[in-house]
Amino acid sequence: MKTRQKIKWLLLGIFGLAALLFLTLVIHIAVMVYHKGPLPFEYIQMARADFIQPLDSNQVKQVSNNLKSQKGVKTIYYNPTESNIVYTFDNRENTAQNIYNHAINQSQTAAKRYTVTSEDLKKGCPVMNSHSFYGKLTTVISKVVN
Amino acid sequence: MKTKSKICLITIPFACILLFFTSCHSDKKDMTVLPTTPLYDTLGWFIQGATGQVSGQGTKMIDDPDNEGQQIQAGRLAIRTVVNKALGVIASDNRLAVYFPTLLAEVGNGNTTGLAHLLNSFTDFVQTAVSKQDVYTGPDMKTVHNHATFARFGSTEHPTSDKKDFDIFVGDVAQAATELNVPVSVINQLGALLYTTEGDIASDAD
Repeated sequence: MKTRQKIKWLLLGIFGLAALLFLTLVIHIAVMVYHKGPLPFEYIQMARADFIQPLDSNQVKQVSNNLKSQKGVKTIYYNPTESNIVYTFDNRENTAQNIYNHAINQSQTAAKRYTVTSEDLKKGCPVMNSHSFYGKLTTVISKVVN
Repeated sequence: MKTKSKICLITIPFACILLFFTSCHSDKKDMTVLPTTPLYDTLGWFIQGATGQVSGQGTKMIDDPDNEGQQIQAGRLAIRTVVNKALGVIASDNRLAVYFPTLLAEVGNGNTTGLAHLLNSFTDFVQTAVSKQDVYTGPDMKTVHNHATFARFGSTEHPTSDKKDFDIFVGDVAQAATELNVPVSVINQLGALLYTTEGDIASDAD
């Protein structure tokens, strides 16, 4: 066999193998996600505000009521040890900043919104990164098969 | 072309097809009888109002109150309820929030949140430990709790977590369960189960 022909067959073999393995991955993901319903709490986001000083019971009540009156807010948790409040909301209905502006800034209790930087996000727990190639592929396949 | 090369070209695609079929086996047959444990049944029994017999309540399929049109095992629902509450406690705890930045990260309108991802994978992990069902598919705990083997965790200065961090974590989960009125005996069993993973997560564990 000529060298040129050998290279041709080799390249064909490599690309063929890669294509078969990719197909295997796609079908494997499709089997995994087929008929899997949406994630529970899919659009529920968490946000936090840190108070400069501990709040008394009246202040906690006032801030909690302010938060409850905001559109999309689901749960509220005040941590007296750390003097902060964690709230969850539906991110299709509101934003963390908007809720903070209307519920906490206006309650006249000195506070600061806890924000996560992009540097912070590079660390921490190994939750599947939906922006990775595998994450994006899974999202696309899930939309196709479901 | 030589006969040897021809054989290779025919064998490789067949090997790939074989690989494909073995990697995508259906779980349906394996899941006809779901594994369970007394603790899983107890949790499922509690979430359904704690009436009647306990046995078999963990794997019983019920409507998911937080996911319309979906069903969920009662035991898993109980675990997810505790985990959901615990994630709020963890997010408020300055000693641990740094390990879980995804919880408080901003995501765009209508995008799946880090809370949803973490809640799901953490629930899978605890369900596997409690029920003995093989639902957790994430990386093993030892690998991801060491900066040397998983770059996202810790830093060069602090490559691993320690017993102190782990105690805080279990304490936050226990606090969440207490606030949900889970009986102390059940919390103790859950705590004991979590501590079985301590050796993989805390570098200075006994």
